[in-house]
Amino acid sequence: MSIKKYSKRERREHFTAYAFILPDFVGLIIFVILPIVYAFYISLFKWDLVTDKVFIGIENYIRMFHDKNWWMAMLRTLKLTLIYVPGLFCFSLLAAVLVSRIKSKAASFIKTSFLMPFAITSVIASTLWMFLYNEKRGYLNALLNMAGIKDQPFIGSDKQAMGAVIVVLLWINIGYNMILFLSAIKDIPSSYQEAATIDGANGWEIFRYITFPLIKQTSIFILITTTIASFQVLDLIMVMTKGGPAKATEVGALYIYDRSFNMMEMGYGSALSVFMFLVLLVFSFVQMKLTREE
Amino acid sequence: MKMKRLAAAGMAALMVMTTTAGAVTVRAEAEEPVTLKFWTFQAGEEATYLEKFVQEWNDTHDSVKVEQTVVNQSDYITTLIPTAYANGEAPDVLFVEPATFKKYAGKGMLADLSPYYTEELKADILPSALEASTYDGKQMALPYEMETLGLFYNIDMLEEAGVEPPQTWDELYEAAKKLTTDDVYGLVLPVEKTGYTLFNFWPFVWMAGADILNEDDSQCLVDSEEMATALDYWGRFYQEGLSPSSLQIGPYDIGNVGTGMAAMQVSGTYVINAAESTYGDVNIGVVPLPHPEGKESITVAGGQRLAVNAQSEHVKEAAEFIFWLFGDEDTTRLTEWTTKAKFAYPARQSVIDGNKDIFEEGLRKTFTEFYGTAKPEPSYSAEVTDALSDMLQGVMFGGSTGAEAAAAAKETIDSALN
Repeated sequence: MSIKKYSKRERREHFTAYAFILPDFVGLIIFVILPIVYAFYISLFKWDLVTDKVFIGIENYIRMFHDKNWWMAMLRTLKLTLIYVPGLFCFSLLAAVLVSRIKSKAASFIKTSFLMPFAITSVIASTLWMFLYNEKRGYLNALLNMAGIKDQPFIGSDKQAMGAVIVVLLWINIGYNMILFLSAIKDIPSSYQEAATIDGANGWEIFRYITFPLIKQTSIFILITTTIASFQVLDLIMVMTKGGPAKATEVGALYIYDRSFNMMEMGYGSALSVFMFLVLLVFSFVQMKLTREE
Repeated sequence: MKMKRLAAAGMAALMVMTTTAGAVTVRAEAEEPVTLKFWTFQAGEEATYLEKFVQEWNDTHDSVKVEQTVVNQSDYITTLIPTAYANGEAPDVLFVEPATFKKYAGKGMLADLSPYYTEELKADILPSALEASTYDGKQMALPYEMETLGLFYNIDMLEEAGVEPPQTWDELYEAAKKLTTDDVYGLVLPVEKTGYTLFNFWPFVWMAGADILNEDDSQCLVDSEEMATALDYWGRFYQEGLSPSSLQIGPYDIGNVGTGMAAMQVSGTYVINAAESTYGDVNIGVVPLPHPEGKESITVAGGQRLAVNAQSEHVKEAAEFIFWLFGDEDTTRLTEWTTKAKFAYPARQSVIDGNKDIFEEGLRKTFTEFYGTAKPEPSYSAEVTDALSDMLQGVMFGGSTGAEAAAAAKETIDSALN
């Protein structure tokens, strides 16, 4: 391969492009990349934030492998991911397909309504849902009572708490992911659909053989980002349950937070974060590889 | 052109010279005052009074100025203080509570305040409060307020149900059972895994005759029959739905009784003002915490303390400020704080004696009557506290029996102690 020569104009264009990226990139380095590198560095130390760091090599990582509570917390994270990610994917895709069929002005109203929860900060969303989940005075139980079902404790029960948290997560995020799916669906030339209709395809077949395959890139993107997000759920749980009742919602991210700040074991907390980071990194690479194979 | 440039340079040089000269003369006139960083998280009346005190200090002290910054309370005890220490940016003056005292003192975050205590002050501070602010034989904090727990109840609800204010554990359980309906909880106790939940549980531990650690903190004593009894008793309220398993209004807020959501609530002196003003139209009464049959009622005394950051460059000045605030011979500020800004018992005998009439008003009277039964809130290391919190959650929501939960806690604490 020969070295490509750029014309003066091309060079100027490249310069402009990089100049535009630069501010964002500087922010990325300072607020994302450096902290990640620093977390890895700290994970090799015993550090309580106050006294001097003591280098202990990979001892934090060894401790992690023997920490039963950590693996229990990660198992809960996995449980959350396995329910939340497919749930979010299906519901937002379904919503997108249905909304894309609506040709009237109502479409934009529906889109806005779905997106609204995403615009609310998660702390307020959690508080709102706590009203709904309230055992004796909440609307949800009032509805259940009407259907002849007795009061449910929701976030007050170790059996139901995780589900209750996942419902709030879905409520917040479906709108945004629906918009992503919608724009992908809009990019499919309408002639494909028309041709299929002429050939006698029904709605399901159009979705199965035209829409779904053509929005694969978006699907993969959503799967990756929501999986990552599901590992990082923290604020919602801190407001609603603080990891309770009886650890039922103590997920990995909360355990890291607790270790780092409550227990002031920043070194160990960082080691756990690095491990979680690596898990997500591997997962993302696998996902990306799968898309490239096309 | 050349002239212009020359003139400009001359002007610039002149400006630089005058400013530096000015700085030199200013410095010669007055020594730069020391600035103390003071982060506060109090709200409402408490915030107003703290601001007033700081203003008063700044007006009367020229060489030491206090710079107050208002922060969020839940951030303060979780992320704010530890990260500020890591950056060397922590405030000079700190608030500590039993839940954080041992953790901070153990890590050398607090300065030794022993040299600043006068003998008179030591004698004036209630012995248990002084002891609870001592670490390794040194006074590491200044206690100033004592908040105790009692059983608040809706007088009308109890009358309607024909229930007498409970005095024993059995009576409390029966009352809660009787008062629980489809809309109302019998008794509100804290729910979440927090220090506040443990704070409420301590009196029950002591009344059952149980203990956490031995004298010199070397042995864990939680796997006792007494602890199992206390845990089973406490857990029963949640298991049987007499106490809520999640709370809309915080457990430290009398709103649970005030809004009619619950008939009874364990809460502290800090809710008296709200019970009498915000929920003044609700008939709220208070009794000492119920005790097991044949035993005495015991309550717990918690509260904030002031401390000085050991990393501070101005330990002396910061200590002078906190002792001026609440440890001074002039007890006006402490009196205002414990009677007007909020209601709490002052940690100093002279202030209690000097304001007898205030402590006899309304709900305060009951608290004053059983004030002597208060034991200071204990302070344990982060690991021990965490294990105890898990133990409580286990009986409340995890389906464990008291004995099982206590055994699990002992295992964790034993490995933390060794």
